[in-house]
Amino acid sequence: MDDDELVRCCLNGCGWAFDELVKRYRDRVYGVALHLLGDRDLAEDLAQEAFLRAFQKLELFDSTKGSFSVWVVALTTRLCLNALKRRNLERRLFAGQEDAEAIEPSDNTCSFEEWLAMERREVIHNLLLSLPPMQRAALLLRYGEDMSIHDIAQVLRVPVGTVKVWLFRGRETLRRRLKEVGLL
Amino acid sequence: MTDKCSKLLPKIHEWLEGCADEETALLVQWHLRDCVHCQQIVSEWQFVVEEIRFALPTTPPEGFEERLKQRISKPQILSWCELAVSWALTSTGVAITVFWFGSSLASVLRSLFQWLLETINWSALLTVWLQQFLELVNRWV
Repeated sequence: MDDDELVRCCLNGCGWAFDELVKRYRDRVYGVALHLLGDRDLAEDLAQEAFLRAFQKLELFDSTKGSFSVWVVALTTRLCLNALKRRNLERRLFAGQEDAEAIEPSDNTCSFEEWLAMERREVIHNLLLSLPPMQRAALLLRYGEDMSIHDIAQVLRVPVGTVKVWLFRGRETLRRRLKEVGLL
Repeated sequence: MTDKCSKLLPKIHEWLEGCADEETALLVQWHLRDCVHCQQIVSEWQFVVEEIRFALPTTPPEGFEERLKQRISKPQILSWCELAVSWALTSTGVAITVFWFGSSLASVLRSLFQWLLETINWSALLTVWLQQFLELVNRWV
């Protein structure tokens, strides 16, 4: 069953259809939130909020404008960017607070390959967090979600040219930093 | 890395993104054919994209779906209840205020009007005003 059928099914009152959509996209939605915010609790909260809003506004979803995953990821991105704005404001008020949380392994009994993958993820996560939020969002939406530059411009509410510049700068900065840490 | 390379980098990126026009695409392809350094950068950019794709999906904490289900079911029930309760409370408050304030204001106005009627001898006052007015008219004429 594809996403559009699940959405139709959900609108007709099938509760399990939305559960299936959540199961399909929870990792991506949570991933975007975590990489944008760098805070596990807030990322979970906002990923849930995005799904909740998607559920409440499901009749507004138009499959001709894009897929369900793009829609829900766009919702997540907007929520996270607003949260980042609020957090920046709070940081200015209460200076000297926490920094980005690392992605920690859930248990210590993982294999060497799993540990390596976890380390690699953590390096990328930290490098992404060192970029400005809008640049980070553009990179995640473009390369993580395969969104078009026009769609990203709409989500981030900036001109297309700005998105192109952010993508170039972000990719170049990441390339240099990956070289510095020896991953390239 | 030559000056030409650093000037061409944004265009190479544009070409990789599929946004370059025909002329730029030709220029980039021509340059990439001979420039080992830029070829290296392109492959490193592709690596960056692969790393982002690899790092993005992250398993949420345990119980994510259960907590989401709770949040989905909670607000619907609560919102209707809250709406009904808040509507009832607001309308009761408004009704009480209107009745109390309205009736007390009306009684105050009524008593003021009665006091004015009782204390002032209106007929005498009107007679005095009329006499003064006639005197003024006589003087004028």
